[in-house]
Amino acid sequence: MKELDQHCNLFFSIPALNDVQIDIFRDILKFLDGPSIENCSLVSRSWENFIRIYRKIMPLRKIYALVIHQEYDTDNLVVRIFHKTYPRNIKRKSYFYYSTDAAEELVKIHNFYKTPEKKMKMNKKSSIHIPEDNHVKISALKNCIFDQIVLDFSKFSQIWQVNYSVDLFGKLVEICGQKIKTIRLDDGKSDNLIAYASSLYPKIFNYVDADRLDKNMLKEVNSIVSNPNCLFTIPNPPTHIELSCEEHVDYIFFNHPFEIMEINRFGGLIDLIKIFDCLIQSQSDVSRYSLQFTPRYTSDDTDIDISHFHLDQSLFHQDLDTFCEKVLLAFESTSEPGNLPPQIKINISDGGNYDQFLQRLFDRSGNLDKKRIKHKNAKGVKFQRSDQIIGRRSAAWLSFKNLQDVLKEVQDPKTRAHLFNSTVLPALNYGSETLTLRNSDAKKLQTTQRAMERKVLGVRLIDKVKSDEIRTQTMFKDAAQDARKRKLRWAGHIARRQDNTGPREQPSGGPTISSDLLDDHHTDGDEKWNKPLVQTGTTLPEIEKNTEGG
Amino acid sequence: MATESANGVSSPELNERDVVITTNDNRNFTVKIGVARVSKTINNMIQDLGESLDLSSGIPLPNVDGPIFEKVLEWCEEHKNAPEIKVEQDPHTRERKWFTMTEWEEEYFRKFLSHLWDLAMAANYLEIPSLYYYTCQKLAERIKGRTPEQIREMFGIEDDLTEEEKAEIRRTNVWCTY
Repeated sequence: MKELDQHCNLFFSIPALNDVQIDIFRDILKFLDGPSIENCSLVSRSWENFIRIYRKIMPLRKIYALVIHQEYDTDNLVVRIFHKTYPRNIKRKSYFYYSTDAAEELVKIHNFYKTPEKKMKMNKKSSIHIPEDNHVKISALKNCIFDQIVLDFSKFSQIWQVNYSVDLFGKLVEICGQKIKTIRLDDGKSDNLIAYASSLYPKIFNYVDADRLDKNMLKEVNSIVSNPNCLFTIPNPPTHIELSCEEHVDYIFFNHPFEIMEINRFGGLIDLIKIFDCLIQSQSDVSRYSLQFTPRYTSDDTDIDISHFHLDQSLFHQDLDTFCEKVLLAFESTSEPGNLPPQIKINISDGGNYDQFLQRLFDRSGNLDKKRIKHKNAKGVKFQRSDQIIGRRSAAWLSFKNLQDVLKEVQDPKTRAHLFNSTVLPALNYGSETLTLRNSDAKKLQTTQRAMERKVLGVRLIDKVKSDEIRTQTMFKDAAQDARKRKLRWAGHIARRQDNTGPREQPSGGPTISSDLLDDHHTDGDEKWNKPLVQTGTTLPEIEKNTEGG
Repeated sequence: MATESANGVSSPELNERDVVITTNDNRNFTVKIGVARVSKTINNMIQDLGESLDLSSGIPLPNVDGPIFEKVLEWCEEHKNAPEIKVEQDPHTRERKWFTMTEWEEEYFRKFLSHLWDLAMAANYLEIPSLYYYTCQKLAERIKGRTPEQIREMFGIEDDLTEEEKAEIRRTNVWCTY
């Protein structure tokens, strides 16, 4: 190691002398974490030189959160960093109050909330003033990585304050000279301010190289619903968007807990579903949607009426039900087979009787295979989809992909329809001759086909063109109808057969129903479908004869 | 032609043949080609030489000395059929993910703890990724969590930083704890 030390010295006096040692040393340091590397720079001059030069490619120090917010009980604007944790779901106010030492102050602007606008504007002309002492700290941020950056807009009462804090944020980012990976925006409560704050988002996102956007939007629902694209029209669109409706515990008055809770909760959930709808319609490249819903109330509050609570839950179920249905439909129609989610995960953090709800979900979409359900505290419910229709759909997509360019080029609708009918449909309806076509299956076939048709015509979901219109434009054969026709045709073939052989492929039974469900209440159906097929004959007299003989 | 010779070289019988490798202190090692191949440098040499390879004359290694090469060979014996390792790093913090070592490897490094740096040099020259990165990780393991004084003591480095310089480094790395 002494040798290395000498070599480092040599390296910096005569550049590019020996890079083998440098390579090795760099590789060693890359195994360390941020804090250890900073320690290493104290070892000797050559180490310090080395680390200073290569700091840009070395591992970063991990800091949990950077928060711009109002200091509790004062009118100071504070920028804080949290080294370890940033409380996400507990009352932040009290957290700041009780454990301020967990966080470190970076910048503090005194009496920010009391200062009249004019005075601040004076300051603004000479750009934002950050005390010199803090510059060192802020520039040290460039060797750090944050899990979250939080802009807390909740306390701002005036537009210029929002403006100012966004500028401050920009300044911070400029000084630390690094794009930020995660951002989380906490918005305030008054509506016009919110609208203003969202108009500033593009400005904020200039500083952000986000692959993750967390957003708490209790009040911003309307603006997002009216324009869901605002989430995507930022310079570096995030791949992960998390929207959350957070109820504030402060709102629950103990005199009327139920009314308030109901409004907060269900209002929130319905809004989420609304937004979710919009997101689906906007058809952006979002591969994973998740709904997280945490109803919160003080658990030691014994006043909660159990019967009432159950009523709430059932309402809640309905919402979730529609939500799940929408998720399923959305994936069926918008995503291609490769992107189909292997699981739909519903996290219900609160204990309760969810069996009924789950059962309903299974009843509705029988092709969901129920796997790994923890009945108590129904946490992390997973649904694994298993159905042969998926295979058929992916096969259809494959053949469609091969044909896609041609289909787009061909202008004559008849030729196009012929091409589609003769290549994609057979793949989609392969084996449909011997399989039961349930209504849900038919729906699936149709949605798949419609997605293809939309691709051919270049119509997006957001354009809101009716399916009927699309169908008339493309003149493709309806997949569900085609499946039914195939079945009839096949039956005809069998019936016309003169030799006494059965069909080469025996109908394998009904749609695949998972064994879990069979145990419950599908026993009759099971027997019916698995009964062996008896070959009786091809013409009526023959059938009579055969059955008598048998 | 070139591909043919390469194919000829990679045949399993050849892996069983011996090759003589000469280190810079003129020590000769007779090694099976299959073992020597763990090193990409030697492998390239063998492939480039192709048909004209004269196994008896030996391959010279000017940058490696005997005692270290002995240790490297031990590693090669153990890893002659091992798959290539993947170096991954945390996308956010850029920290390398640590490899999990087998018991044999732990024992190996425990045996040669004082030669880690030489091993890394040799592995770098001979291009043995598994040995190289594992050694780096071992060295990092020794550095991690120690104070600068301990590191200095361990590697015998002189403290040539003045107190002012140290204070400056601590000031720029605000959250540096030592």
